Amino acid sequence: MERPLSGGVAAVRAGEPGTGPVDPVEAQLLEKAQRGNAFAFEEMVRRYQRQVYGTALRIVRRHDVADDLAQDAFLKAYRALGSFDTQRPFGPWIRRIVANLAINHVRSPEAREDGLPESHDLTPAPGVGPLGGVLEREAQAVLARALEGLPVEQRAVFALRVFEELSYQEIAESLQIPVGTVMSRLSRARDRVRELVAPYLGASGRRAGSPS
Amino acid sequence: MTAHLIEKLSPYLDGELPPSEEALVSAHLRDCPDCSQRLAELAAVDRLAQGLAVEAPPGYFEGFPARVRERLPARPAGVRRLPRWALAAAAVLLVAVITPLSIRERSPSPPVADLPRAAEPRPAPTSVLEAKDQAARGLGYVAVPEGEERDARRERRETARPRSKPAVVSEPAPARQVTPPAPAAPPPAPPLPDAEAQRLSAAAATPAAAASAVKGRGPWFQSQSQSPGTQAPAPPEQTAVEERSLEAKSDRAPVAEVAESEVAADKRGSLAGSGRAEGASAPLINKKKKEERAGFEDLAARRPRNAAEARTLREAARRAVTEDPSSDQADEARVLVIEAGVLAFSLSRDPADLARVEADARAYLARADAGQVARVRALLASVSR
Repeated sequence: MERPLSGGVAAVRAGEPGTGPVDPVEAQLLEKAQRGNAFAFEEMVRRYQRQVYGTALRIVRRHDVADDLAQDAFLKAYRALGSFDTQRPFGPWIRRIVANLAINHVRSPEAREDGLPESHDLTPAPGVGPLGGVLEREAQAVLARALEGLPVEQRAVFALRVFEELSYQEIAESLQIPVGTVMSRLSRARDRVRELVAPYLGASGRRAGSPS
Repeated sequence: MTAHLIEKLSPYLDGELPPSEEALVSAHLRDCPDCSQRLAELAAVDRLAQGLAVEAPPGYFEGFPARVRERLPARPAGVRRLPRWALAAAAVLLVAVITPLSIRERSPSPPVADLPRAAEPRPAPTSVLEAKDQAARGLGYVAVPEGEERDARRERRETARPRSKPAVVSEPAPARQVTPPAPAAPPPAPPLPDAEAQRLSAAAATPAAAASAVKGRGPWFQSQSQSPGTQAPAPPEQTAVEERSLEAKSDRAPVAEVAESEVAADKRGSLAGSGRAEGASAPLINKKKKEERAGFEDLAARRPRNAAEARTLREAARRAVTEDPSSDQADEARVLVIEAGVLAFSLSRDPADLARVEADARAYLARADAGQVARVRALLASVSR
């Protein structure tokens, strides 16, 4: 599948719906979907597609792969929906599904043969963040490149912790590695990114005496 | 700070250190500005990363939900109704497996090595779990202390664990946030107790019973719909097969909504069916409800791929409402009319489809018994944009 990656941006930030108490409308949609109503499930897809795609993209970094994985994640969720408790939040469940699919992908031999895309899809978000303004955008651009430069195993751990906010135990279970390995990979990933980004951090995050 | 302590800053930031180590790092941070600075930078990197936007090509998210919908199977697993041929196939298999067993069982002096399982003396349970398993098969109650059971379970898990590391991450069983999904496929039927197996095998030898098993639910429904008084009592073997086929049906065919009590009522009905008249009316009502529901679900499980199919679905749902406006499913069907209408419009962009959606949605919202007002408002908003 080929889609242009340049041009306008549908910017999204993961983590919007699905984290608080269960929305009764969503519970109703899921119950309908459990009975085979595809329209109801389509509405759930509409609500969660940005989160799910975002989670996939942060791990695999390729739009075409993230698109496949996002679709597969929803299909997988639909197939398992019969046993899903609709009083539970859908967001964490579907994100976990897509994260696992993405991790399986990056661990597969075919993913290792995939080249890196020319353009990266994680870009500075518009608006003011913790550092504010131009400096933050620069810092985010450097950060995006730094994340791309991480070994796949480190990036997956970083993504699951920082973007998906999983505990070390949960990451260990997802990746089937010991908790100690999660800890050391994450520590190395963060240190590497920190080294590259530190010069761009604002006064609050900058080391005294570092170049400005 | 030593490299060892520097490595602890990341888990310290995440609150993942054991209390003793956390206290050590805290104490060190109070005296070491470099490490404090380093920790602040790590935290800043996290915040910065969380602010990264995800880009998708323009228009990507507009088309995504429909692409997923088109790939959806008819029903989620776990609530899927098995097609009748599958029930028939299962019944044929049952007969095919049990008949030879029963023939062998009756044949004089079989070779020792070939003894059918049903005739074997059951070995004494060798573990607590096995004892429980046997108890579950109806051999009697075995009291097992909970602790022992846990130990046995752990032991079994450990022996069952594959030695080599799996190549892929396991299925995403939701660990913390959601109830772990039950297995998608229905659990295999437990081995039949010996007496039951013998009864069944005897029943399988009766052509009428075998035929009724193959037909699946047919004969059972017939026995319910005829007056039990005028019907010759079924031979006990046949009843056994029918009960078994009923159990298979109620285990495998449930639609999510079929209340357990309803199934239980059906079972009671089936037991009463051969002898008493008063059991017959409730199952009849339940049967009608089930058929209605099944008919509606077949409708809802359609996957229209173009505007014409979406319109056909819309009108089929409308007919379902007209035919039985007081049905349990009428609310669902009314919303389905609108959902299918929205799809028809989104595929055709035909103003006539839009006008139909708006009229249907307004009519729905004006109903006092509308159960999905928010859903329909959202649907209406989606086409009015």
